[in-house]
Formats: sequence, C-alpha cells, structure tokens
Amino acid sequence: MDVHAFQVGAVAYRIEITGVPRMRDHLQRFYRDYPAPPGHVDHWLRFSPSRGWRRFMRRDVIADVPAPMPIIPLPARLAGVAFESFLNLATSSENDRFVFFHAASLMRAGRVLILPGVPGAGKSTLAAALMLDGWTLLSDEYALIDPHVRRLAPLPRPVSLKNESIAIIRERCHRQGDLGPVHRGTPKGDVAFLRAPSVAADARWPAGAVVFPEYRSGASARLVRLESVEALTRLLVSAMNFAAQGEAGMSALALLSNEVPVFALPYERLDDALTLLGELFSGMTCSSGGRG
Amino acid sequence: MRSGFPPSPLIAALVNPTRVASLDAAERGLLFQRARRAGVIGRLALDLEATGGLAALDEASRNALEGAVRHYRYRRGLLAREVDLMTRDFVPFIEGPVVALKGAAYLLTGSSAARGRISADLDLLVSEDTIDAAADRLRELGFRPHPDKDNPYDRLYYRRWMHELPPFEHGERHSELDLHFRILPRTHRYQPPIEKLLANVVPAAGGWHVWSPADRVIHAALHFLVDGEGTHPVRHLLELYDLLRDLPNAVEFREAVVARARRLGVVRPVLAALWLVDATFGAVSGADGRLAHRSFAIAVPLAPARRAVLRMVAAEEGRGRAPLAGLFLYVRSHWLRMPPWLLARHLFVKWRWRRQRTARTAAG
Repeated sequence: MDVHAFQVGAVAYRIEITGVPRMRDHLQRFYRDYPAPPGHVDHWLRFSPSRGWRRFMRRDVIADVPAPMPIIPLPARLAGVAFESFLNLATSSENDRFVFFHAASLMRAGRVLILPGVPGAGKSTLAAALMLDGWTLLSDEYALIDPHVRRLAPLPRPVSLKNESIAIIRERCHRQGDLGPVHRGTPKGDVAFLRAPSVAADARWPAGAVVFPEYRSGASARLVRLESVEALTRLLVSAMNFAAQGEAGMSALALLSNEVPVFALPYERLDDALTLLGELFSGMTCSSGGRG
Repeated sequence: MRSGFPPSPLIAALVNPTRVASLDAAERGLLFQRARRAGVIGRLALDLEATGGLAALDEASRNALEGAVRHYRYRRGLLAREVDLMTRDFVPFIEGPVVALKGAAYLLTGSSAARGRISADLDLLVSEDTIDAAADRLRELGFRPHPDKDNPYDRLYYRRWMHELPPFEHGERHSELDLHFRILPRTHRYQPPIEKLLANVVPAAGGWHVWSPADRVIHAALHFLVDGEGTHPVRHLLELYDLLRDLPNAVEFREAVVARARRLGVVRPVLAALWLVDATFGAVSGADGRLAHRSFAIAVPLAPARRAVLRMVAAEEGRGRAPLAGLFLYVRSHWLRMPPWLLARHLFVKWRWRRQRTARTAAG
C-alpha cells in the first residue's frame, strides 16, 4: 500500500493506493512537485483493483468515491486516466469550500481568465498553450470561486489533453517529460496529461474576463462580446454546485456573468487565439476589469 | 480491504462538537468527508457554528463547514417554502388531518431533529378515505406522478400493496412529494394500525398535524429498522437520539414510547432501535438511556439486525467495512416488506403487464 499526500493549490488530497502499480508511475511523474499538505486535507481517497467477480474478467481500478451513478471501473492499464477522473469526481461532488465551474482558469498580471468548456470547444488545449506561453495555470478542469473574497482559487492539477490536441501541445512543450505518455482507447479517445506547476494554497486572484472558446475549422479568431444574459445562460451549463451553495453560488454566477467582460472566442489557429487573449489581458493590468 | 486511514469519532463529534477542534487538522478533513457521506455534515457544522466552535478551527476547515451550512440553509429554505405553499393550497382543502411526516414534521415542531437535516422530499399522510381527494388536489396544484410510475400497473400496485401513492413531482418547481395513507406497506410483517396513529395526532402550526411525540419516535424507529435498508445508520440514530430528547423527562418519555409501541404491535423493533441509540449516541453522551432500559426487564430483540447496524455504524466511522452487514439488512428489509410468495407473484404480474404493454406499443 502506498500513501501519497499533496496540496494542489487550495485543495489537499490524501491518496492510498493498493495493487495498482501503474498509478504510482502517474503520481511520480505528475504530482511529485506539489508540497505536502500543511493542515486540512479535503479529500481522502483509496484506490484498489475492483472487487468481486469483475476481477476475474480483467484488471480494473476503482476508487471509493460516492457517485451519483454507478462508477464504471477503468482497466488497470489506464490507471492514470482513472486517477484523474476519480479525483475530478471527488473534488466536484464532495467539496463545499468553493463554488465550482467546469472551466479552466489562468492568471496573468494579477487577473484571471476563465475558460468554460463544453467538450471539444478547446478549453484544455487553450489552457495548455497559455500555460506554456507564461500564464499561471490555476486549473484545467474546475475554476474555483472562494465565496469569502469572490476571487479565484488555484487547483493546478495536470492538464488533460485529448486526441488531436496532444500533438499540437507536444510541439509547443519544450521541457522533456512534462507531457506524459498517451493513454489510448479511453472513453474520451486518446488522453495525455501535461504537468502543471504548483501554486500557493492561499493565493486568490480577481476574475478578469470569461471567454468561451469555440474551436471551429475555418473560423478566424475574434473576441465577440456577450451580453450578460447570454453569458449567464451559458455559464449555467458549467456551474456545478451553484444551487447547493445557495446565495454564494448566485453571487459567483453574478460575478462571472455581469461584473467582468464575457466573450465568445471562435478560433481555428491557436496562435491567433493566444494573441487576442494576451492583448485582452495586457490592457487589464490596473483597470478594474470593467466593461470595455 | 485494510486501510491506513484512521477512524473518525463521528458520533462523539455529533454529541460534543467541540471535540472537532482537538482533532489533528488533516484528520478533521477525513471526519468531514465521512460526516458528509453519512448525511450529518450539516448538523455538525450548525452545532459548531452555534457554539462558537468554528473560530477555533483552521481556515480550510472553517470554510468546509461554512459551505455545508450554506447548502443546508438553501435546502431548508426549499422545504420551508414547500411547507408554506401546502399550508395555503393543500391543508385547508382536505377533510380530516393532514399529517406532516419526518423532516416537515421536525420543521413544524421545531425539533432538534430538524437541525442540519436535508430532506429529499416532502412526506405527507392523509387518511385512506381522503386519499383520492388529496391526490386530485395535488394534481390541481401542478404535481404529477413520477413519469416512470404513471401507468395503470403502478397506480394499482401502490394503492393495493403499498403505504403511499407513486411519488409526485411538481411540474415547475420540481419538488418531490410522497403522499402516504399508512406508515408501512400493507404487505409488511409489521402492521401498526393506522387508525390508532391517526387518533393521537397533535395539531401543529398552519392547520397541519403531526404524530404525537411518542409516535414520532416509533415512526422513525420503524422507518429505520424495519422499512429502511440499513443505509445511513448514523443519520437515523441521530434522528432518534434527537427525538428522544425533545421532551424534558427522558426516562418517562421512553417508557411511554415502549408502552405505546406495545399497543401498536411494534415493540420489538422499537426496543431494538432504543437499544441501538443507547449503544451509540447514549454510550458517548453518558445519557440516562441505559438506566431507563433496565426497567423494561426483557431481553432486547432483533439481535442479528442490531449487530449488523452496529457494524454499519462502525463502517461509517471508518472502523472496518461492512459489506455482509449491508447485504443482510438489505435482504432483511425486503423480506419484511413482502413475503416471498407475494414477491414472486408481484414480479410475475409485473413481468406479464410489461410484456403486454410492450406488445401493445409494438402493435400500435
């Protein structure tokens, strides 16, 4: 049995792994730089081969995460993917400290860009490219709003890249070993993870803008300003626990839909999207993030 | 599976919330995770907030509990609003008492059992001769039977064999409501006479009625130990522990509960439930429970079920796992609910009905 404990930005995990050797490799590669949690540990998770008759069929991995639906175990060869998806599930369904949005978040010049993503919109690709371009990655999967200060909290777990975006990011990634092996045949196709640097647990930054990436072949990159009503409607799709959080959830929705500028970003060429986002945030350094 | 995770003093923390502050900061997170999964994190958080205990915690622990309180307040608001709407739109329209059950009753009576409790639905009971009028009124108010259960088979099945109508859901608010006419299915091993329960209801605010205090304990005990499948034992035992302390004289109240249970023909599960409260919450709080029990001077029944529940409690506190205890309680609850020959008949009739429906759908 292995025990791992790490502080990923604002959230701390303690993980116990029994009988899944590949998971140790995944943790070695992607989690070794996170510090040990100094105090409170949010999520305590155990990973093990699945029990019962299934184990005679094939080697699966399960975690003791209570899920709204029965969990389908992943085969042991996809231990890294299983690890990341169970951590996502535990974090989003069992953490009351933050209001969660299904979105990537990155900081530049003290302001946070929030990239909510429907699958295929290019959220993780854009997040990875921005990170390699010098932005601070706060999160790939979930943007966390700290309800006390209405600012973004970090959860910089590895970025999950899918299918074509793996090759695109590999070209831009110059640090050997940051981009891990490609897991083939996962429920989402090919998946590879990109290591993310640690961020201080108590760091909180104000929201700067919300941008909905819309990857489309043939689209020329531009930022289309959205009215707050449309912004709200779109954000609701990504708001994971705003109802459970009551007024704090409403307040977070109001912050992201009405108090910072919201854009759609149709794009095909990644570099054009990066340029636009860089320009958007370069003019934002000292302003209040007001309507532009 | 062996685990290196330490056990959490979940019940001890519920009885004495200030204990939370003395836990190691990391293990506090584990206690919160277990309390959350056991369905009692809202209670723990509210009690710590009320006693000023939040200030003694580190910031992350405090934030976790404040989030649990936010969630509880939101859900309690939803339940209170549903109760308010029904006070205006439903209760005055039904002849005879409308009995609020469980969470709604605890809310209306201001019981400590309402603290931190999150109710998934609103549970009501009316007498069987007003059930059709009550169901019609619910439809007028925009409630619909759950689409999965809105068919001739289930309509008949629930009325003939169960203790409630198929669950209702409001078309706009999406709130869920269960309309009962008994407290246990007609097929259940235990048959507490519903007339006797209805004869003792007490009025609550807004024209509502609730069970008498003793019957509230008895209903919670039956719901937990003979109708439920043994899940969330800590939450159910906490509910009983609270209800038993709602009245000032604990010893006399317990004796009244047992005497009443005997008259209702359900003394065995009620004694077993009281024993379980004593063995868990009572043992920690050092309360007067055990003394009261001696006066019963009879052996406590349901030993296998009690052992299984204690194992489930231990599992919720992180002291081992209880897969067999869980399976035992699950099978037992279904066995009590419906004797095997009736279950066989039920499954056969349902299968035949489904087949006919499929044939009709295919032909149409």
